[in-house]
Order: sequence, then structure tokens, then C-alpha cells
Amino acid sequence: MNYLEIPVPNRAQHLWRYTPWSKVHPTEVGSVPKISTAKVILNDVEIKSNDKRQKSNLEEISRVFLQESNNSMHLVSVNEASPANLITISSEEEQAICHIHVECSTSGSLIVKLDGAINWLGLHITGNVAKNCTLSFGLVNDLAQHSTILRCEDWNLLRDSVLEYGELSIGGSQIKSDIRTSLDEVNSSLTQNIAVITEDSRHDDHHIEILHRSGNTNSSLNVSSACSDKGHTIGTGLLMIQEDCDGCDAGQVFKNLLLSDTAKAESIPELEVLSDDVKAAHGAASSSVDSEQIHYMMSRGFSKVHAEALIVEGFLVSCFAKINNNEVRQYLIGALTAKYL
Amino acid sequence: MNDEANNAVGDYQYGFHDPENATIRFDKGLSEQVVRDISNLKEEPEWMTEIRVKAYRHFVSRPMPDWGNCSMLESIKFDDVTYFLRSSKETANDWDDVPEDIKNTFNRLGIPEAEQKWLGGVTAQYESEAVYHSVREDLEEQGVIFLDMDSGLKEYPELVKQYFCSVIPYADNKFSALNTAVWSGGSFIYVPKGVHVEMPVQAYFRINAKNMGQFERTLIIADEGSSINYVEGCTAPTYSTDSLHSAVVELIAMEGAKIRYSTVQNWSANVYNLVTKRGIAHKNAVVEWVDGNIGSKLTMKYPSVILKGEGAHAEIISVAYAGAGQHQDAGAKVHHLAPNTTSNILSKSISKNGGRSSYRGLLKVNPKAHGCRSKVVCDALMLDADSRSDTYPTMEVSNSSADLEHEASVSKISGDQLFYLMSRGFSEEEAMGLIVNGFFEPFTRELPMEYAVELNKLLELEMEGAIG
Repeated sequence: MNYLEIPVPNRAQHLWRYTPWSKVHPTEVGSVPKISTAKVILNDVEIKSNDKRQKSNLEEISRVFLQESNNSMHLVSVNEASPANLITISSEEEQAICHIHVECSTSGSLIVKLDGAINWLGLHITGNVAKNCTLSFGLVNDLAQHSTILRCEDWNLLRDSVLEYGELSIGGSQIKSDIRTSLDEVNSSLTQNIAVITEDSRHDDHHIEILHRSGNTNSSLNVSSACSDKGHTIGTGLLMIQEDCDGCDAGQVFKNLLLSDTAKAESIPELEVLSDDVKAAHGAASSSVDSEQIHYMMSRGFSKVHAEALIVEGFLVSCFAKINNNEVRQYLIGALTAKYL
Repeated sequence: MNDEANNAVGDYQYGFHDPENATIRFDKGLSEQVVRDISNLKEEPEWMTEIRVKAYRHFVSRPMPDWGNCSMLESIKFDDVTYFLRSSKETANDWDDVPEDIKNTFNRLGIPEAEQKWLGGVTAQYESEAVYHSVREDLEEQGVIFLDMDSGLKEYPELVKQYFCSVIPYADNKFSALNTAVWSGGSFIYVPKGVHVEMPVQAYFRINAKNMGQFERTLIIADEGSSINYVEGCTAPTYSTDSLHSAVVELIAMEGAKIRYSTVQNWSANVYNLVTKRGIAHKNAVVEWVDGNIGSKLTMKYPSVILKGEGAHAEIISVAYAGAGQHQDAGAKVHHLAPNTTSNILSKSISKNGGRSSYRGLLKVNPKAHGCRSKVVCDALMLDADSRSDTYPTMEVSNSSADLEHEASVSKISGDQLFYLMSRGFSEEEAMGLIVNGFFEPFTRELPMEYAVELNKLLELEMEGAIG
């Protein structure tokens, strides 16, 4: 289906309830502008788009829009020749789109950093993790404060593969992320850890879908957010366990720390379970910083502002503790710590 | 009962039906004239007719919800439903005056026995209207008003006018509009300041006729510092055609008042149960919903509480059992509007034989609601591989001092627990029944004893043949 044939989603739809499509479209919703390709630097070398991307099977509006606005693709291989990779995505244009396809055929890592002062960025990452491989993936969104980001990700995990996923979202003003992972074959495993900071009037909407399509697959999602000023964090999770998928173990947790009276947080961790011999759990919690913790820190000589910043930093850093890959973990923690320096 | 119906409802023990002896029966289908005729027949004041007509127009113009089980909702044939059926000329105050066939039905359901033993008052509604009503003299002396809604409107029109649609406006949703247009029966309760109604009052709703729509309307007002415990039960015969039950329940708990509203919904598996229930809790008031959903084909019911006054509290305990062909889409909603308000939501569901249970909840904290606390727990148990369990919780927080928790889990009965009980001599079926009863225990312990026993029996019946 073409973009113009897809009806503009209304806010009754779960995916678009808090961030209307018109807010993340770069122009008018009825148009499909041709948008230039973002600059992609892989391990200090700029790479050019090297293939025409395949048309997505999904008839989801943002994916179709990104495809039609820019059809180029950057292929990134995580293999024995290049197990550790760092990509920086930026652009000097007002608007840019980047599509990265990741093929992981070994145990390695990939860090993606979004950098620069672009007005609007469309990012679509797709990836396959091959049998018996482990990919540690880190994404740091450190774009300028005025940027709007429309991001989609689609991951497929094969037998005995592992995707360790970490994300730090601190850049941009209007962010819509739709991350979908399909655990296609037995014993595949996903750990997804996302830390979000919304301050000033930053609006960060994460939709995370995890689909268990095979038995004995595991997933764990942990989203931690700190909201201050007029920040607005939205976390919607959809965890689906299909029929005949016994032995799955899935969990998702959303934690929100509200640091001002005007900050808002919405958490909607949904479950759809069609197999009975599974473990599926979800949790959500929202609260302010514990006054006893602040008091403890202040009694050790910290100012209130410094004490609160340290507690928030600790809260978000703990989100990355489960990432086994040292490089990815340290990169994410480093980016977070730099934010609080 | 034909085979198709029998297969559809299984061992539903209230599946009997008595001959239908209607004194007034409207033709099937809904029109503005039907709405006006219902109002005229009941000799209602003009303002009520006006509300009904407005609600009808809203119902017609409003589309079906595009969420939930859309295919089941779309299969409701509104034109095949009878919207009003009067079975008795007037509401009896003496059990002996109730028409014989209706009395038989309620005797089989155990209503008179329950009334004698432990109820402060009882209303029995058969089809569209109450057929029997009584309230203990000592409660009447204290000024407690407990009437069926039609009598409430006749005797206390100003009080009804003040509160009717004040918690749930007719335009709230499609089914609240339908109810407001064609409502008939239900309970009207007013508890004066400082009066505590110690014994529960009960309403029992029975649909007997085929393709019947029951649209009762309940309004409970607990004035300052008072308390009341209201219990309702519902059953219907098993037909191969579908019936529709669409109630609206409004609760108003004034400062320091407490209302507990308990439901054991056991409609037969051919009833669409689409109910809107909402309470308002003023300062330091408590509203509790204790909600059990065992029967029906499709239930969509999300008891909600608006915590409007400082220090108000909401407690919602909900259990659902979804068997073959059933979808129990239940849940809870709490709006924290005022500071220092608290809420607890506990939801438990069981799916079996391809049944589907869903928890759909909303927890909303407004910017001015400082110091709120809320905890939501939902647990689901799946008894076989054909069943399905969904959870759709929503938390919207706009105040930094709020402290909210939500946790949920979906699992099957643990093999270790089964093994333990079987090693003590229980059969697998008995062991599973015990575990299910234990799973629902937080709900049953909140019910009056007779209801808890009844619920356990129902669950045992439903659990028969669970192993296989």
C-alpha cells in the first residue's frame, strides 16, 4: 500500500494516542517530500548508501512514509572482520532520512550515535541476528534540542541468538520511536534497556513491540525515564506471545521519575498472551525522588540540586547495568554521565 | 433448549426459563417513538423524556467503539432486541403477591431465603421492571430510601433530577446513551447523613424472555458520614439467540461516606453484558467495587471511581472467568483529581477452553492531585493452550508527588502445586479446583458469605472437565 492510500491514524489508535502523526511528519500529512540521505560515518569512515532497500511488508504509516521519501540504504555487517562498530549519523540539511540494515553474523557490537543540529530526522533501522550470534546494540540520541525524530526499528532474531539493546534518549524536542523485535526461532533472547530524559518541553514517545513467535524465547524490557520541567515521557509496550510458544519468559518494566509538577509520564505496558505454559509479567511505577535519599545526600554536603541530579543519574545508569558488552555499556553510561557533568 | 444452545452454555445451572407471561411487550427494535412510549407508559416527568430522547439521538449517531472485541460488538443486532417488557402489573411488597411463575423463578434462585436470613432489603427485577421489593422497617425509620428506580423517580423526582446522569452523562459512551434512552428498573438508594446500613441490600436481575434487552439504571447516594453495602446478582436462561444487558450504575459518596457495590455477574453465555459503572468519592469518602464476572458472551465493564475530594479512597477488586466462546473484557479506572487520594486495584482472571480474558485499566493523576498513592495488581491464569489473556493497563501521571505501582503476570497453574495436592490424595481435577478457588480468594473473602459460597460452587461447575 502506498503512503497516500493509508488513512492518517487517529488518536484512538494505541500507537498514535499521545503523538499525532501530523506532529512527526516533516511537512503536511498529505505530501511525500523527497528527502536527502543523512551522512553516515562508520568507524571514522563515511559510507555511502549501497543498495536499494527492500519494500517493507508492514503497512505501517511511518515505515511506508520513510521508504517513499528516501529509498536508499546503508548496509552494515557485524562480522568477524569487524566485530565492534560505531556509527555516527548526522546531516547538514534541514531534513534527512537514514536507513540502516544490520546483518550480524558473529558476536559483536554496534553503537549508533545521532548527532548534529538537523531539524527533522527519519531513521529506520532493520536488523537480523543470525543463529548463535550475540549483538550488543547501543543507540545514543544526542541531537540538538529543536530536532524532531521519527524512528522505526525492526529486528529479527534467529535460533539461539541474543540481542542486547541499550538506548539513551536525551536529544530532540519531538521524538516518536517505534521499535519492534520478533523472536523468530527457539532460544532467541532479547534484553532491551532504555533510558529517557525529558526536560524543558521535550516530548519522547517510545512504542516497543516484542513478538514471541517461537517457544523457549526470552525477552526483558526495562524503560526508565526522568521527567522534569514540562517534559512528557510516553512508554507503550506491546508484548505478544503467539500460540504454541510454550516455555517463553517475558517481562517488561516501565519506571518514571517525576521531577516537577508540570512533567507528565504515561506508561502502557500491554500483554497479549495466547500460550499457557509461559511466564509473562509487566510492571509500571511512577514516583518522585525519595526525600530521604535527598536528605541523606544533603547531610553529606551536596546541594539539593546536585543531590537530585546524582540520584537521577544513578537511577538511569542502573538501567544499563544488565548490558554485558563492556564497550556498549560504557559508551551509554559515558554519554549519560556527560549529560550531568 | 436446543443442542446448539446447550453446547454454547454447557452446565449453566440457571439456564432454565419459565413461560413468558408479559402484560406489556414492545415490538422488537428501537426508534424515538419506542423511547417516548417507554417514558409515557411510566408517566415520567417531561425532563426525563427529554433526556431519553437526547440520549437516543446520541446513541444513533455515535459509532460503535473501535477497540475491544469489535467483531463481537458488530454482531449485536439492535433491531432484534425487545426494549421493554412488563411481566407484572405492579411491584409487590409482599412475596405472596408476586405472580406465581415469577415467584417460582426467584425461589429457584434462592432470593426469598436470602432475604429472610441476611438482607437489609431486596429488589427483584424480572425483564424490564422490578416485581418485588422490600426493605427492613428499621432502615425505613432511619430515613433510608431503597426503591426500584421507577418508583424513586415517582416519589423523589427532585432528588433523582439532581443526581441522574451527574456521574455518567448520557453522551459518555454509546451504551450509556442506549441505557439512558431506554432505561427501566434498577435501584434507587439514598442513605441519610450518618446512617450506617449494616446489613447488605440486594438487587437481583433476571432476564427470562428471548432477545430481551435489560437496561436497568441504578443510582446510590450516600450522604455525609453514611455507609451502605449493595450486592447485585444476575442470571438469564440459555437461548440460542442473544440478549443484551446494558446497565448504568452511578454512585455518589459524599464527605466521609462509604459505598461498597458488589456484583456477581452470572449471565448465561448468550448475553452481551455492556455496562458502565462509575462512582464519585468526595472528601474522605470511600467507594469500593467488588466485581465478579463469570457468565455472559461478551462483558465490557470497567468500574471506575473519580476521587474528587481530598483523602478519598477507591478500592476495586475484579475477577473474571472466561470459558469457551466467552470474552471477559473487564478492568478498572481511577481518576485522582484531588490531593492525598489513594486507590487499590486488584484484578484476577482465568481463561479456559479457548476463552479470552482481558484487563483494561486506566489510572490517571491530575496535576493538582498531590501525594496520591495507587497500586494495581493484575494476575491471569491460563488453564489450557487454546485460551488467551491480555492486559492493557494505562497510567497517565501529571503530578510528580504521585506514587504509583502496577504489576501484572500471566501464568499457568504450576506443576509443583498440582503435584503437591495430588500427593495428598486429591484428583487432578480437585487439585485444580482448589488452586482456582485459592486464586480467587482475595475476591471471595470480600463477598458476603452466601455469595462467596455460591461463587465457589459456580467455579467448581465451570471447572468440571477442565482436565483433558
